[in-house]
Amino acid sequence: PCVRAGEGWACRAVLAEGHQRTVRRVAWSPCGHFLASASFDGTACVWRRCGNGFEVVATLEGHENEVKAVAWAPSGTLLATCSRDKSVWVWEVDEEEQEFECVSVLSAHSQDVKHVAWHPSQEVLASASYDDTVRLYREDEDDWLCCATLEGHTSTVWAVAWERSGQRLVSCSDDRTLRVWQCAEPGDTAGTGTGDTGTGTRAPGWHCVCTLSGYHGRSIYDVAWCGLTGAVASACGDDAVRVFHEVPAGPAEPVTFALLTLHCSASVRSTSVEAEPSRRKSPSVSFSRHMSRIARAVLPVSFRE
Amino acid sequence: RFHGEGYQEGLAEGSHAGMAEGRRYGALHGAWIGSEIGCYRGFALTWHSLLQKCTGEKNSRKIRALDSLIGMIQKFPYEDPTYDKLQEDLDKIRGKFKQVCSMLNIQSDFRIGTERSSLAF
Repeated sequence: PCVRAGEGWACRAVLAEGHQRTVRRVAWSPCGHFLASASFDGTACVWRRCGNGFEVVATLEGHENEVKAVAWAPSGTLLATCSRDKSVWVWEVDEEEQEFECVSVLSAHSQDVKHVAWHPSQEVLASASYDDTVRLYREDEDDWLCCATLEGHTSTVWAVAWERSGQRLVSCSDDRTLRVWQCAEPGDTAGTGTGDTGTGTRAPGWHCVCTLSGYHGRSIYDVAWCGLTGAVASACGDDAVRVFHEVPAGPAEPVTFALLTLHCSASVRSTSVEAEPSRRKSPSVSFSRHMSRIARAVLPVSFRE
Repeated sequence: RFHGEGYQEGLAEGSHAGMAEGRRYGALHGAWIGSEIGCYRGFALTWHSLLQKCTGEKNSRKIRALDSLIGMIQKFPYEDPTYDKLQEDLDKIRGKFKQVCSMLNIQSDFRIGTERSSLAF
């Protein structure tokens, strides 16, 4: 299935007055009334519907250079931005005043931060970086801190996506693998896998429970975890969208995923939105509520759930 | 035998030069860090006293953030360059400073050294 321009989709508004450089990512607020945009001009803007268009209600400044991603927490009261300046900023939203205040500047990564994603139900944040790691952050006594570092990828981690339950997350990387991570509670018994201390008990914390390698021919730029079906989709520089489905297994068995379908770009490429040349080879993928409407677009997209 | 002597002499001279250079670099770097943190401290104390006069919820948040910054600076171990979390704590101080600047709507571009202030009247 592919989305063709003109079949039920029409451009409703062009938001041209907010940024001075490339807009790298957009995100709808959970309530659907606001749109956040992250730009290479170093700012993130928040837009609200105004008549037939949108107006800027806030410009979040402070990052030293390109802002790579922006994401809303499920509560709608927090926003996160990340940048090439190696930091992740957490902003608090005052919905009535429509004001945004920075509550934390987190410099845990040692390199460019490419992506941020919030846990589906808790105020926990994940970030992906050029330093090959994924980091998790949470609030602790009025301040935010990095509570976990997920190491394993051997190159830039381009994106992360949470499973609907929030117990696992998947990351995609320049190293052409997808890794699925799970948090083990203290005292949890698990089967073979990384982190096994030999007594059958996994050390508490996050561990990589599955690595999908050999499926992708090039860097994997984006990954999404379907909230309805549990399938994982990846967007790869080899011009294909892949969908993976988890193979059911018992509690002590290792986690595995099988490739369900492979969508080649031949049919999609003719309908994809034109993007600036530097982004043409970096596809993005996002799920709509129904698997039948996976859209592959050359510009990042986000669906309202 | 001359090789050996030559080597020992060279090693000694190299170590000596290395120590001197290291000491200079250490002093310079230490001065940079001291200057940077000193600047943050002056900034934080000034704003703290300025905001004391204002009331309101928003200001109490700013004051809390300033207090946090001042606290971090006070805890910073000036006397111990071998402190293992030195860089980490320094990054946290810088992060808190940037957050405070964002809350106060101030640009946080900090210049170290004797460059002229960009203020003009």
